[in-house]
Amino acid sequence: MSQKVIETPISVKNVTYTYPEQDTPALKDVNLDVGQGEYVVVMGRNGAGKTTLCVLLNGVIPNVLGGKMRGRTEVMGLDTRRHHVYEMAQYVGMVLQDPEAQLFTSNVRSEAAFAAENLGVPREEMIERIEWALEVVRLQEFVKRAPSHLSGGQKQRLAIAAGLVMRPAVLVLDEPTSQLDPIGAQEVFAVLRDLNQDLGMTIVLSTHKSEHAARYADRILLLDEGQIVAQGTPQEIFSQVELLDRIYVQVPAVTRVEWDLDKALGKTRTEKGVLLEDTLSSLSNLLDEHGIARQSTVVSTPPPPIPPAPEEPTIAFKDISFQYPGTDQNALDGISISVRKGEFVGIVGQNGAGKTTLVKHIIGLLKPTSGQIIADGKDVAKESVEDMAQTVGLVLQNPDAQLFAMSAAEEVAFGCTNLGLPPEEVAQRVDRALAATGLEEFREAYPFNLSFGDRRKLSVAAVVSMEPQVLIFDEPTTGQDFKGRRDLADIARRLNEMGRTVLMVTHDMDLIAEYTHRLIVMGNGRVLLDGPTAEVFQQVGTLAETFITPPQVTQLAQALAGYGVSGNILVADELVRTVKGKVGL
Amino acid sequence: MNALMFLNLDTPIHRLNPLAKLFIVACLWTASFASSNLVVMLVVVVYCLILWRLARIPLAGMKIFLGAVAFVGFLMVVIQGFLYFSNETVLFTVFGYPFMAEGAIYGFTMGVKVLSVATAIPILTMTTPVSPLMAALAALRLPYKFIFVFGTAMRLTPLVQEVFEEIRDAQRLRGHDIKRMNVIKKVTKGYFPLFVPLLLSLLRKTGDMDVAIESRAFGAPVKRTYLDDVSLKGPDLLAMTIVFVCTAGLLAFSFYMGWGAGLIGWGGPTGTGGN
Repeated sequence: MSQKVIETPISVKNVTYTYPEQDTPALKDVNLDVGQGEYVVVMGRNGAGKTTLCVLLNGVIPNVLGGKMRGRTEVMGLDTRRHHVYEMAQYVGMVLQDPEAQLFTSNVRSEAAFAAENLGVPREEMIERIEWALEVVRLQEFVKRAPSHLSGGQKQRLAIAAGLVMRPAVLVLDEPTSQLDPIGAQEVFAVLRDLNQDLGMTIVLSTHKSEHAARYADRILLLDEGQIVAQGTPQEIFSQVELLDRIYVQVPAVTRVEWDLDKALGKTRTEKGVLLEDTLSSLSNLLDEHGIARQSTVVSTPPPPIPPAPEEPTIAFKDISFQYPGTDQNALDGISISVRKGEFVGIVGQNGAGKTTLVKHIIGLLKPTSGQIIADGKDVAKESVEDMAQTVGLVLQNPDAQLFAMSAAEEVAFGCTNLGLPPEEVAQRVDRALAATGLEEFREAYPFNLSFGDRRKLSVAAVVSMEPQVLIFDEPTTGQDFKGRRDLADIARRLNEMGRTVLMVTHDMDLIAEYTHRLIVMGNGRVLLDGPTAEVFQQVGTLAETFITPPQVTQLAQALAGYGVSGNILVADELVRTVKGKVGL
Repeated sequence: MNALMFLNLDTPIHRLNPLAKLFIVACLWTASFASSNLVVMLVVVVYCLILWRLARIPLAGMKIFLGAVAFVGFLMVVIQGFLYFSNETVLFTVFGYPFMAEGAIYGFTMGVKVLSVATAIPILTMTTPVSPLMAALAALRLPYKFIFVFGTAMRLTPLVQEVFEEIRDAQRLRGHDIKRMNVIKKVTKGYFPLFVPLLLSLLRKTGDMDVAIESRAFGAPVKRTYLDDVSLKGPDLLAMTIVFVCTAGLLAFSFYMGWGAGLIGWGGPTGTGGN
């Protein structure tokens, strides 16, 4: 790390920035000072200007991306306009949002080393830093693996490791944990806190993960439409629930519970609890005040019902194992599961657990090394992917790898046309799919001119228009803001209510809790747990084995079990109703 | 399988220092280029195939590579058959143009030369990750910008393949079945929809890569260091010595037999040291 110490390493003065060929500024009159050793978290909906602010700090804006910039940005005393990005990189480390776009060497170890080599870090120290960084992101076993052979989450971990190895004075990370498993994301926030405290590293991080921001940030910066609309400590910011709802920033679940209860109780506290332990303490006090006796036995309410099972499953995995070529480990190891028609199934597990590998088998993109998969009565191994696509729709993880047409309407029509439908039917389906995903106004737009969130919705529309009986969403909420996540989950729910079978791979436990009937938990290529969502979230120990934690509300409910609160509670509303019931409201 | 793509295995050849492998390839190329003696070139091919075997490079996976080399060899036979300056033995004529045995044999010899040069390449590229290779080139004091361009070019092939497969998978997931199309449809409706997004995607990726590379301090005004240790160890020196001795033997054989006048040389089957 550079020895240069500056009291205010980041100073942004009156910056307004407009991207080339755009009319509306992405940042408007932004003023920001970040002190040495501060840990600043930037939050805001998609398109609020988070990424723009991040890349402003290492001079990519305006030096690489061009555009019009007014105002002045100084980082470590260097005017970003006057210094090349590679000069700034001696002081500012950058972890970009899309891991696919920033991995370019042949293996994990050399990827982690690239920046350190460029910075002239002595070899012995470089090795030490690489070993540390890869351990932090749990990639120490994959040093020889090609980045292209890592899972999406592992790629993101590698991008983080590459940034950590730099040990810069200022580390900027743009949504670095969007594809990480829950414990992995928490670990990254914690490691950054350690670097921040031990080395005095200044951290600027953008995220949608309010739970971690609440725990680790010194200061939260709220951006909306390119402007800073609020900044303050996590408690100051997250207590402004109405503002956060208005600008689609997720409120930590525990704060939402406190806010709802305060409203019901007529309390006018300006600051709410933002951490699990704070809210636990508040609720315990409330229940104690109302004389709710602690119980020795834990109450358990029945989980939500799973739809009745028809005789034949829609999808059946029969002892499936799979090994990627050139590896010596099974990516799937003896998987036997069935999915019934009309189920809404969540699939979770640590990065690299085999989730994407599993769902790719359902449509035949991957063929098992051993075992058999039956989907819609067909032996998948004997069918072509193109034929299976008529009954199974798979929306892959990275939307950018799935868009190839010159307009949104063409993109959606592509699959329908391949089904051999008449043009009128294709047109109707295109209209319906674009309407269902809220993309009607973009029908003639070039897909890559859409925002990331809309590109994701377009990739969903393109598959939904084919009207398959089984729909699989592989991490549909990655990089999505609070609203985008719910929009996509709502689309999935509507399709499920229309009778489609839906499988959703995600790291978003709140969505899993709210939307799915059944939860499959994977770890190291095996199924660790499979059952009703609420029941599975009770298995805290097994979940932790695969780096999963239950949603914050469920954790809070479990912690309140002594007061007779059911540990099966999955959403904030339900917990609020339960507590209100207990205190007689 | 691509002859430039690294094969992630642990074999004696993989473990050799990239500098040693560069030396080995240089020796094999020297023998191939210095001599047009068919025996010498065939021995080089055999050397290469032995090294392939040691590196566990599967012959079955190299069909496209070997097919391309065979095609070049075939072209050389045809072109030289018709254009060779000596016309002692006419085998047949096509529209009045004679096809000569000497030309065909010369073309065949050149084809084997191409084969011997080409088969040496995977010994380096398929057994060495790009980064150590770049470190080795740096140890040879080549300018880093050149090395980086070389490294990027090496990575471009797998990147193109990766993007191509992503797009093809996305299209297959939407029922786009190229296999069932006839030849014309394959080109117009099958590959064209793949080519345009491939090109656009690659352009976008290279732009993103530019940002990522600069953000990771590429070009920073400091003396670059390298993670990979490129000092030569005992096995490297042993391998280099063996290959050096074998190459020297081949060159001595060529010298004894005549550089281009062995069994088949520049001057043809009865050549007398034509060059």
